[in-house]
Amino acid sequence: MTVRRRSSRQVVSAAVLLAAGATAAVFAFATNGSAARRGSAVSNATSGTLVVNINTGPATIDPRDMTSFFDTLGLNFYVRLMAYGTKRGPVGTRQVDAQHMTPYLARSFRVDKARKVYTFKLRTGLRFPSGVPVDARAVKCSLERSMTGIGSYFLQDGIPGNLTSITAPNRTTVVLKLKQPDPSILQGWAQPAASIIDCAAEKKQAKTWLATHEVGAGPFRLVSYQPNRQMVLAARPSFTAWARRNGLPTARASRIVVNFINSDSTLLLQARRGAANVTIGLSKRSVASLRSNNNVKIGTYPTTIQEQMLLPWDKAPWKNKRFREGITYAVPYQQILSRIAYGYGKLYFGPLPPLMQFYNAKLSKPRPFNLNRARQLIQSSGVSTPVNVTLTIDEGNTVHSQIATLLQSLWKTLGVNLNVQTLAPADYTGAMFGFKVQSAIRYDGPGVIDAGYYLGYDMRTNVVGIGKNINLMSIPAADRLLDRARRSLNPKTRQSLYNRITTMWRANSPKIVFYNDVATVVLSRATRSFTYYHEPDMRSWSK
Amino acid sequence: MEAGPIAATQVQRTRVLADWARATVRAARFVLHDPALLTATVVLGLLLFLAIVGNVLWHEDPNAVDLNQTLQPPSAEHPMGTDSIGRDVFARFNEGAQISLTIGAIVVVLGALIGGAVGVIAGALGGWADNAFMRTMDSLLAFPPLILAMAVTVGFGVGLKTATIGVILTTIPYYARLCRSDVLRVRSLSFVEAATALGARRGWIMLRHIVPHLTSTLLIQSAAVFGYAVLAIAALGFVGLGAQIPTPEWGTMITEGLDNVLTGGWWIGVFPGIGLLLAVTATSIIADRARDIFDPRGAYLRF
Amino acid sequence: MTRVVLNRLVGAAVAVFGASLIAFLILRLGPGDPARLVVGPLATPAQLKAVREQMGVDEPLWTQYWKYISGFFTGDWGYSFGSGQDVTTLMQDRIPASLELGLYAFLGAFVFAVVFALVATYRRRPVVDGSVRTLTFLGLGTPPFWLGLLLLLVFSVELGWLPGPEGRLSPDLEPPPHHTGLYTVDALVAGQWATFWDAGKHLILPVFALGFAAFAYFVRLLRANLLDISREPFLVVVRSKGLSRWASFQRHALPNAFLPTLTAAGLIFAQLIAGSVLVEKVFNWPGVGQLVVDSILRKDFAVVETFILLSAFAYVIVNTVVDVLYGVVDPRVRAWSPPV
Repeated sequence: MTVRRRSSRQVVSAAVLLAAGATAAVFAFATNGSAARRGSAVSNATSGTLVVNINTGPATIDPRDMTSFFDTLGLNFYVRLMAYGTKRGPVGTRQVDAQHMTPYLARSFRVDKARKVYTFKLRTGLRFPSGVPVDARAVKCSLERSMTGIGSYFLQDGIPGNLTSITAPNRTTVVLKLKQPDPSILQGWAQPAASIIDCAAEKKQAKTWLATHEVGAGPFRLVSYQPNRQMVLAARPSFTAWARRNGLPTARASRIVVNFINSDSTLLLQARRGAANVTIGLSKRSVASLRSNNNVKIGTYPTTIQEQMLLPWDKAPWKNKRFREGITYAVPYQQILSRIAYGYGKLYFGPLPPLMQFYNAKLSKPRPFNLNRARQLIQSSGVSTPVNVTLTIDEGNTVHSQIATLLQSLWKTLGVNLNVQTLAPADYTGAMFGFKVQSAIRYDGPGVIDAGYYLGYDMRTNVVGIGKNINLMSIPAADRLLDRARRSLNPKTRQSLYNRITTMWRANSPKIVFYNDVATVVLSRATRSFTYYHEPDMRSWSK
Repeated sequence: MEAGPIAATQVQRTRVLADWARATVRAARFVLHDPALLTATVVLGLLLFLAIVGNVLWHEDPNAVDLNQTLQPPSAEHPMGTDSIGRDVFARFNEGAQISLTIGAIVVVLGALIGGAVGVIAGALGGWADNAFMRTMDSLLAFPPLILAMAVTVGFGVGLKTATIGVILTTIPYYARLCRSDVLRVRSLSFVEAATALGARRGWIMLRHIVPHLTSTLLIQSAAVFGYAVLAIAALGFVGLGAQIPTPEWGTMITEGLDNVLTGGWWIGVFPGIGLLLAVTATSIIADRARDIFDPRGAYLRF
Repeated sequence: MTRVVLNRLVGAAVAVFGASLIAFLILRLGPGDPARLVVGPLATPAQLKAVREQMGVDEPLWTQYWKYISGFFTGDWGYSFGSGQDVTTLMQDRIPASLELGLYAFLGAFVFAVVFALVATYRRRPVVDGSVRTLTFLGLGTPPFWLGLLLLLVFSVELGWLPGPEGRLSPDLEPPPHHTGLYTVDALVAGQWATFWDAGKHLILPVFALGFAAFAYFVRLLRANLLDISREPFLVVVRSKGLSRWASFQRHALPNAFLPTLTAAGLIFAQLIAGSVLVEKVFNWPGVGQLVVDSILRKDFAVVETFILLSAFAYVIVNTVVDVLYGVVDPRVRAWSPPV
């Protein structure tokens, strides 16, 4: 054995170790780990820290670009002119009350006789971290900035072009002028889009910076943010002091850790154990499994969101009114509600969901499930069966796929052959808003809790500034009534107008409404105070 | 008596039948001799039976939704229980077997045909054409296998059809490489040289001499590819990009099982997985033993 | 030798760019509107157009491709609209998680494979050998995502011994101070034993689910090689010289058996990347696999394209390293020059 040859085994193991070490070293050097990723060593078990688990993270926290409920988490960093009121809720919690808007940054406001000019007098003493005061100038530049983005729709309460001028005659006065009166415009100015930002500080940064950072003076400040993973907020002392001076609610929790967890099983696991104080977005099936669990309380809150099925009027067979009517009798609403939604919903059939101010329960009774009636109507409609329909649903949505499968097997007997098409998120939104779907299941509701706002984009033949409404429905007579109702200042007039709209809407069976969604929030035993908002204001959340 | 042509064909026929009988007996003894192979054959046979005939004999409809019978555990009425909207899991299992086994076979056949063609042509042509083909194959191989299939399904619409195409695309470079190296190897054998010396054209040599050599390699490797294809389609279904509602594909059923892991309903995901496991393992064992049939050392002939 | 290496490098470069081009075309040419996903339903056509411009999807394909490739080498990996941050940060965040999972799966698979292969071949008992063989077949036929589900059901839900699908750490623990991004390593370095133990517990099930197939493959390979080598005449000679059975295995049979497993390493690596996608979904592991699947669904081009380039590079590097190592380690390869 004169040839000395290192054992191959040793070489191989050395190589493997070297590779592992090299990889680790590369990462140690390449990833210096930004400060935002180093969480503090404080354990969340500390009494001041509230742990919130949500199933989806915000796509952006820039007030100008927020569109979904999850985006609105960002509102906690800012103040606004107005805020939503609250009323008593279930299991000792509170919930949002859209009928009572309260002044927030505004101390008081005046409205002129025509209800087109709103003059706000602002509270003083609040400053941004940079030292710039939160005054009329800040309000003006923030609102103007929002008007350049998606926020403009919310700021104008869904009547694009209605906000004609924003002026700041002096440091403490802001004047907003409307083209036409709108009784619910105050909600528009409580929307996250109306958040007051530090314009100068924002301008110094890149265009997309505000999507993941904040420049506010609101109840919380952003401690750290890993998009789609975790957001840590801490109470802002300057706001707390100012709010106390002005008799406004302050942030009760000193620190909130929000985890974004898409896995339903993980959410359930942590809720069960009480590892999370507040859990939002848990699937209904999982919530139902917690009913007998003594560690948690389940809060159920009405929402303005509906599970619905679009029947675009421009596509066969929905062009035919009778056919549409027939199909609305062919849905086992009660079974869907109890078996697929585990009872967390409300049945109704009408343009307005139960939470809305002008909802009329007598006129919006749910459609009964009557297959014979359905068959009769379909057969006498003039549409020849069998007819093929493609039903589009979004990927990963269990409730939608269950409903779709149910309808597919049920409607075969009616001569309607449903072909379920599941689309990835980008394709789903593209197809729906490109008006390419023959029918689709959609989970949707308005961010502003106002009948006029909702019907303005859901029923009106033309959604001003945007295009046709997604349901492709057109009831011109109802549109005219809607425009009158939005302008009217008399609640009785408005109620009678909306009653007529409801009747007209039902007569046309424009879409299928499976149920009005009831939001479920799971609260751990340790959670002392919670208020449900459709756009979460976390000031009152604490344990 | 004339033992003429009729008698001659009769004798021939008997001889052929005797040969077949002998071959069958040999195969049977080969199988029975090996417990693993025996189990594998039985299992595969059972799966094929369930796939082809299962739902014809079973009374439940795999797509019959029944909201009054949701999440029932396995019982006499529903041997594999029911899922979250009341469909019978056993019926869905059978149809799932049909889908997985058929798609696996399709992938293997098409992949072998296309990939094999590419490999053979590349090996035969040589030079820059060979280079071009093989570089394209390398590009496909540089993708992590599932990602390529996923990109195809998302790019061209999710569904079983595009998923199958995506999976076929991932098997093509494998077959191409295989066939090309085989072609190169066989090309250098002396009898091919001899044929060329005798004046035979390249194409004729390809068909007559080289392609038959490939068949045994292809057959054996295809079993591994079959296993991969079955698992890949299930993986795509698991991620949500393969079979769509209401197709009872095993992968999508496992996803549903995962959704129910904490809230009860283990039967929804466990049974389809067992199906996948059995299908792939059985084919692998059979293929592995089948290698012995082609072993030039004649182990098979001992039977 | 250098000619061969150069040839390999050129081939590797072509493969990587080919892969990137294929991915690019498939994603960008397919239908679907990522811009619409970002702006939501209440955007005006003008706002939609503005976002499209920001995303760069309106430019000609060649420009987009050039930006993509040149950006990759300058470190500008693009912006992920789905998560609202740079792809670079995103990758730095997610890759260590997948790396930790993959490394442990690889090491575990290899170590256990050596043990099982030795058990199967050392004493030549047909029952043991047969059961190990069957185990390998089962291992290669088990879908990793189903195995994960099964493990969860048994060890987490039923027995409660191991944590459920909640990611890398229990929710009440903070990650250790960042050095490598591998929680077990970082926790050890920082002396945080509780965190180390917790991270380890969370790793057990996903590592098993991911590594089982690799384990089966390695056992097969090692066993076959060991059997072949143990029949070689040189071993008989060594034994006749007086070396014990164990020593002959350890010093002669095993090292030679390892050689062919080197080439398998590249394949296993690719499989681990692919398998991690599935296992990460089951265990809600915050790794790159889940990220890529979500990004494919959202048509978040930047993330997917960067991932393709990264994994293609990694795959090619691993294979090249393996080939070179093979040449270094096996003197037969070094002595023989291929007929170019």
